[in-house]
Amino acid sequence: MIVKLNNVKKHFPVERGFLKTAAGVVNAVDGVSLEIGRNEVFGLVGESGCGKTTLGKLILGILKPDSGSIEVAAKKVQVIFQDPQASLDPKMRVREIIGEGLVLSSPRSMVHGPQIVRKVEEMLDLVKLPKSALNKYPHQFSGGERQRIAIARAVITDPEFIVCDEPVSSLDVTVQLQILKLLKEIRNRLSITYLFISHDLRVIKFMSDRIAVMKDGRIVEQGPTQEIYSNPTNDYTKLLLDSIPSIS
Amino acid sequence: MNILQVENLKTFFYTESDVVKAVNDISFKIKDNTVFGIVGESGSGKTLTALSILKLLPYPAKIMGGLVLLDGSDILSMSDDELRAIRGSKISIVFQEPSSAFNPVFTIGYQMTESIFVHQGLSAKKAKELSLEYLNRVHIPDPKKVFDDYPHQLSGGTKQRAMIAMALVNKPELLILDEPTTALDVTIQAQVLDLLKEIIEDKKLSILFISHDFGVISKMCDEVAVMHRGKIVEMGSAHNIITNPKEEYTISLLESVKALAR
Amino acid sequence: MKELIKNRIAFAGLIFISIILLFAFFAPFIAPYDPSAIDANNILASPSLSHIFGTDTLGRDIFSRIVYGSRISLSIGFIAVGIAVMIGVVFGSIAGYYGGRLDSIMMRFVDIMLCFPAFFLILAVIAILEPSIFNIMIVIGATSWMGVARLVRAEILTLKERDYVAAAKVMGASDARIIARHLIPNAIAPVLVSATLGIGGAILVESALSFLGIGVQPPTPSWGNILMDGKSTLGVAWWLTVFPGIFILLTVLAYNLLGEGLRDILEPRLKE
Repeated sequence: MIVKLNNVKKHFPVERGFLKTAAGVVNAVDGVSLEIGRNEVFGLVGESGCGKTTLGKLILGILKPDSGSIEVAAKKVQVIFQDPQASLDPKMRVREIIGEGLVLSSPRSMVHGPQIVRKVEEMLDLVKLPKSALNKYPHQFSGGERQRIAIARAVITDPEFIVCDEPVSSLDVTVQLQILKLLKEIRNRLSITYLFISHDLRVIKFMSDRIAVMKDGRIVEQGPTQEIYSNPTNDYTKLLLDSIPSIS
Repeated sequence: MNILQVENLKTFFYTESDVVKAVNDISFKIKDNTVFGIVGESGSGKTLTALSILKLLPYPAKIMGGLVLLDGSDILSMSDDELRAIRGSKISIVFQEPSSAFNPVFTIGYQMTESIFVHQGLSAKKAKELSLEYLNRVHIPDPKKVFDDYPHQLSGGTKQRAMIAMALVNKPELLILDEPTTALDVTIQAQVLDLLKEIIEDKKLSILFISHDFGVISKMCDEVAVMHRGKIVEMGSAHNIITNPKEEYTISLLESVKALAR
Repeated sequence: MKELIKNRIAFAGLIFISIILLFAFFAPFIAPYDPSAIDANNILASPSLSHIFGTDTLGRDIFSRIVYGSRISLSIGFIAVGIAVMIGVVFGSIAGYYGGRLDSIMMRFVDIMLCFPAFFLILAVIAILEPSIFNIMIVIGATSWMGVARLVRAEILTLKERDYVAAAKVMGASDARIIARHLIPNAIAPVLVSATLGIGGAILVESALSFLGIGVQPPTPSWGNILMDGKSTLGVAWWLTVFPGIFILLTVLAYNLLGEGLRDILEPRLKE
């Protein structure tokens, strides 16, 4: 087990009015327990507001749970976000963006250090971007290319676990497929565990070994992907699956 | 017979350094009472096509040529007054983002009745009755409450339904829908699409449906045009295009969709 | 840069500022006379070919004094604003990044500082300390950082929610690194605009102080203290008032135009 959650809860207070008095509470995550095995792709699917992004942030440590326990047995955890435009610092060059992870983990070396540049070039190869990308800025790339940069940034430190939060949702469908294939390839080559968060059932099915369906802060069903897609037991899961517009 | 006829439409963006040929010589026809779909990825020009039909182009874009005939009348040569009379009554459009289509400082009811006054000149009482009728028809559970609500008080799905109601209230002959369900959750999307199907059967409307989602297009449309970088690469019946795509781009688009499909 | 040239008005401002900068750097070469050279025979001479801006009560050439005075006015402008920006950026980024009670306390302090009429505060401080150029720079800087702090704080409040900041945190970046490396470079655009406009303001303040006699002290020429001399001789020698006045006007206008031009260029881009 690389990640273990036990009855995790997180709520946000709802503030009303000028004086910001607490008018209630939103239970973003309302008692979630799950386990993610090593080298697994665990898919977390749900509609907007179900709490999947909050759960992702809790696992990453960006937010702290109000109760329950989160155990992450990986020393290096990385993240890939949805919006490639907002997840890359617009004022930094690509080689600095990708190299930052290395710089932070080995404080003595500078971003220009030859070792770091070599590792960055390796990463560019891995995500199939040309070397000429090194000195460019994010705005000079397309959405799909920016996401590749984000992937390179996540992988350069040899993480054991990566949280992917809607990594392809803002990309065109043909580009989506390319990026998903890239993620799969990287997982296989480098033996990384993924937590894959998405609202798109088609994408989740393509990527995941096991999935959990979230609604209103709770997991309503979880299990191996094949089983859930062919034999959903929960009504909400059934509703979700029926709603996918498919090509008849 | 053809509610809309577009011939050799060209809409370009003029920036300081470049010309972007966003819509580059496209032609298509929409028959009365059919649903015509335009499918394409971002940057294909599909939204600009819709805006060109209504002559509602954002600043650096200009229509550089072509013909747009709405029920025989030449739209591109109409005056602003004539266009205003048509927009919202003969042609209506529903946009992707329900939150940005409504003015946040006015109630839904105010905005709907305003549109009715402009195009039908009914009394306040009649306008309200009509609005409530349409809000009901789009299956909004509590039309009276929604009539008095402000946009921010409503969920995405309800707002989109209200937008559809507002688009229908003046009985348009052509309804343009630009990614109407993309911003909605998948379960809500299914409900709104079912609603649209119901309306199409009920009202004998012609529809131009724009989307990047082939699944949605195949569910809703009779005829389809595939757009890529400003051009229509393939056009035909939805069934034919999906089962027998001929162009490379269409094939790759369908493959990506199928690879991810159920 | 290209866009700056296209914006004619801002470009005009830039050109004028460059001219004044040239005056300042190359003063010894441009000024025809030594600014302190007293010429008893030529007291209050009206503008002529030998003294294009005339002379003052001690026979000193006004044009030369104005040229040397540009050094004072410009350096006070730059350094005072530099101090204000440094204080403001640090203050605003800490308040914006950490939020919560720290932010509230810091911003209330800013509000309190804003309550003081800046000019009178400066007067009071200068009256207590001696009116030296150094003190003037510090005092102007110390009373004009609040606007910058607010701007920076506002930008940082928005920027800190961006995904690239979260990504940096996940990678283990320290707060200091996030603020210095990720937030401040992205927040700097409105500060640039404010600083440019601020230079104009600082020049005005210095001129006012010198005019009142508590700014730059004679014999060092400053546009403001030339005006001071002109006060008593206004009826007799208009050139002592008009020429420095025009320079102050045009320089401040130039900085304002440049600032507005920068705003037009930088701010729409921010919306992308």
